Amino acid sequence: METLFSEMQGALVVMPSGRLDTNTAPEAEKMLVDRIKGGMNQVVIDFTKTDYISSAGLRVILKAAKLLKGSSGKIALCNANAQIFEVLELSGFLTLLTHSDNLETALGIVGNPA
Amino acid sequence: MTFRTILNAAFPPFSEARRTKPREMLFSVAEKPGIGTTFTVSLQHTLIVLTMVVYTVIIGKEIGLTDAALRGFVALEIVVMGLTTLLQSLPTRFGSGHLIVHTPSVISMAAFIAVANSFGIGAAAGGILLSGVVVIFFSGLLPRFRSLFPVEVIGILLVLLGLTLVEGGVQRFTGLHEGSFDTPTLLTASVTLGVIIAFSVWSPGRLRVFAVLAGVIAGMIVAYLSGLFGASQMAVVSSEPAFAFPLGNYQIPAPTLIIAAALPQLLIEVISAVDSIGTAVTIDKIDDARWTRPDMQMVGRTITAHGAGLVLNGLTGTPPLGTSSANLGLVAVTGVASRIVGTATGIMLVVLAFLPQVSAFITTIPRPVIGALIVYTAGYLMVVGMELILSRLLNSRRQFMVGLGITVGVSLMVMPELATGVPGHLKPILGSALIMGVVTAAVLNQIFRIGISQTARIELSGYSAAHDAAEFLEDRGAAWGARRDVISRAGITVGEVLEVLHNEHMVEGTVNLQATFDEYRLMLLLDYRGKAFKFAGDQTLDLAAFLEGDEDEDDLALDAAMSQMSGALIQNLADKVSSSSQKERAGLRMEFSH
Repeated sequence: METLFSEMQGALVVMPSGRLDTNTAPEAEKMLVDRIKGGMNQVVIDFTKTDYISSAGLRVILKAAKLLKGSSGKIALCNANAQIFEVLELSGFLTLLTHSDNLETALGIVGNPA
Repeated sequence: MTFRTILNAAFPPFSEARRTKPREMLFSVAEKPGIGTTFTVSLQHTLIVLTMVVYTVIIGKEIGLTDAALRGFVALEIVVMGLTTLLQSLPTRFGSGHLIVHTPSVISMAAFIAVANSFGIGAAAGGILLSGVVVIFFSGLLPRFRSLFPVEVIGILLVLLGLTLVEGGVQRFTGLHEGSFDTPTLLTASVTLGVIIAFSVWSPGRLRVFAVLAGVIAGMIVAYLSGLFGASQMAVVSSEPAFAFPLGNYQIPAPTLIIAAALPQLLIEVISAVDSIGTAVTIDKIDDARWTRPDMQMVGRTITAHGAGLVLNGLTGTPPLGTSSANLGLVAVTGVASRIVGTATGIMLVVLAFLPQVSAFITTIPRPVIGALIVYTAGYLMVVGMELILSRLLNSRRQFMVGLGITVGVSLMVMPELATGVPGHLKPILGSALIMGVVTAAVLNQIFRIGISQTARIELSGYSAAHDAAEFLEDRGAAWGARRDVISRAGITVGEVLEVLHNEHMVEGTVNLQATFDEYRLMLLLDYRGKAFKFAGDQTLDLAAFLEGDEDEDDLALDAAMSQMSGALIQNLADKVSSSSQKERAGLRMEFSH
C-alpha cells in the first residue's frame, strides 16, 4: 500500500492506494500529520485507489480532522467506493465530513473560506 | 386432516410481502391510485396487451377459421386474458396479487398450430387443458426447487426474452423490406419511441403514466399523415357490430386427450411457466428498492394463476396465454404497479370482448407503433436481465453457465437452420432460443453445483489475516454465486474483527473462520483461543464531541474512541452478531442477510 500526497489548488490531496488498515494506517497517519503540522490546512482524502478501509484508517481521518479543527483548517472526502462509503456512513463520519463524487468538488469545499 | 389443511398446504394463503417502494415508482402494488390514474394506466395496459391479439388472429387464420368464427375465437381469447389477469391481480391464494397481464403466448403459438392442424382443435385444447392442470400442480412444488432457477438463470431468461423481441420489434420499427427501410414506417416508429422516452425521462412524475399512450397517439397521428392508417382500416372496424357475445360463430371444441399431441404441448407449457417466474421476479424487483431474492411463495401463486388460465384456454379452445413482458415495461415506464390497475385491466378486457368494434380498431394499430413499443421493452428487459446476472459474483463455473446459456440462445436466433432436422412438433422447444438458452443454463447450473460445498473453512493468522479472509470470502462467494455486496460487507466486517482481536491482544495464535451459505444468508463463525467480544448497548461514538474536545488529548483517547467505533461498525455491518466463550476459547457468530 502506498499513500500518495500531492498539492492541488493550494490543498493537500491524500490518495491511499489499496488497503488502509492496521498495517498501513500508521505510516499514512504519520506522513499526513507531519504535513498538517507543517502548515497544510486544506486536506482532501481521495479514495479513488482505496479498496478497503478499517477503523485504523478511520483513525487517520479523525486525527487529521481534529488537528485541522484546531488550526481552522478544512478536510473533505471524495471518490469512495460503495463499501468504503458504507463504512464512512455507518461510522458517522459523513455527518461531520463532506463526501463528494469527484475531486474538483472536494477541492472547492476545502478551498472556500470558512 | 381437514380440507383447509390440504388447501393451505397445496395453495398457501396470500401474504403481503414487505417492500420498500423505489423512488421512481409512483404507486406500489398495495397502493391505490385515484380513479383517473387507474383508468388511464389500465387503458394503456389494455391497449398494449390487445395489440398482441394479432398473434391469436394469426393462429386462427393458420388453423383455417373464417372471419365470423375468427372473431369469436379472438373475442374468447380476450375474455380468457381478462379473467386470467383478474385472477392474477387479486390478492388470493390463486394469484400473485401483482399487476401481471396475460397475453397470447408467442412461445406456444407454433405448437398450437401444429397440433390443431395435425390432430384437430379438440386435441390442441385437450393438451392445453392437461398442461394447465399439471402447471397448477407444479406451482405448489416450485418453491421447493428454487435452486433450479437461481438469479443468474432468470437473468439469462430476461436477456434472451429481450433479444427475442428485437427482430420483430426492429422489423416493425423500420419496415425493412428487401434491404430498404420504409421511410413513413421509420418516421412513425421513431416519433412513437421518441415521445415515450421524452415523457419517461423529462416529464413530471404524474405525466409519466401517459408516456405509452402519448407515444401511441403521436404514432397514430404520424401514421395517418403518412398514409399508414386511414379509411380502409376504419372500414374494417365499422363492419363489426357494436355489441356481440364473445362466442360469435366459433364452435368451442370438446377437449380430447391424444398423448402424442399433448406431450409436446405439456413440455412447452411447463417451460412457459418459467417465463412466468421471470415476469413475477421482475415485477417484484421493479417494486422493491431492497429486493434481494425471489419471493417463491408469490412465484408459486403466479404460476397457479398461469395454470388456471391454461385450463380456461383448454375449456374454450383458445391458444395458450403467457405473461406479458411488454406490460412489465409499462409498469416501469409509468411507475404504477398497483394491483388495482391489474384488476381494472382484467375487467376492461372482459368488457372489451363484448365490443367487437373496439377490439377491431385496436388491432389495426399500425405496425411501426407496435414496433416502437416492442423495441423499448426489448431494451428494458435486456438491461434488467444483465443487472440480475451481474448482481452475483461470478467464477469460472458461473461464467460458463451464463456464457453458454446465452450463446446457445443467441445461436438459435441467428442460425435457425440449426433446428432444421428437428421434428416439427419439437421445433417449438428445440428450435426456441429462449427455451434452449434457459434449459442450457439451468442444466449447467445443476452440473456445476457438483463438488461445491456450502460450508468452507480457513485458518487465519499473521500480518495478512484480514486480507486473506477477504480473498477467501470472495473466492467462496464466487463459487456460491453470492451477491457481491454481501460478500464485500462480510469481508470488511471480518477484517474489522481481526484487527480488534490483534490490536487489543484478545487472541492467542490462529483464528478459525467458517463460512456457510444458502440463498438466504451468509453465516460466519470465528473461533479462537482468547477473550470474547463484549458489545455494549449503544456503541455509537459521538464524533462531534470528540472533535470539540481538548486538542491536547493524547492518542490513548483516540484509541479508546476507535475501539468503540470498531464495535459499532461490526454490529452495524452484520445483520446479527453474537459472541460466546467456553473455557479458553471464544467465538463470534455473524449473520448477513442475502
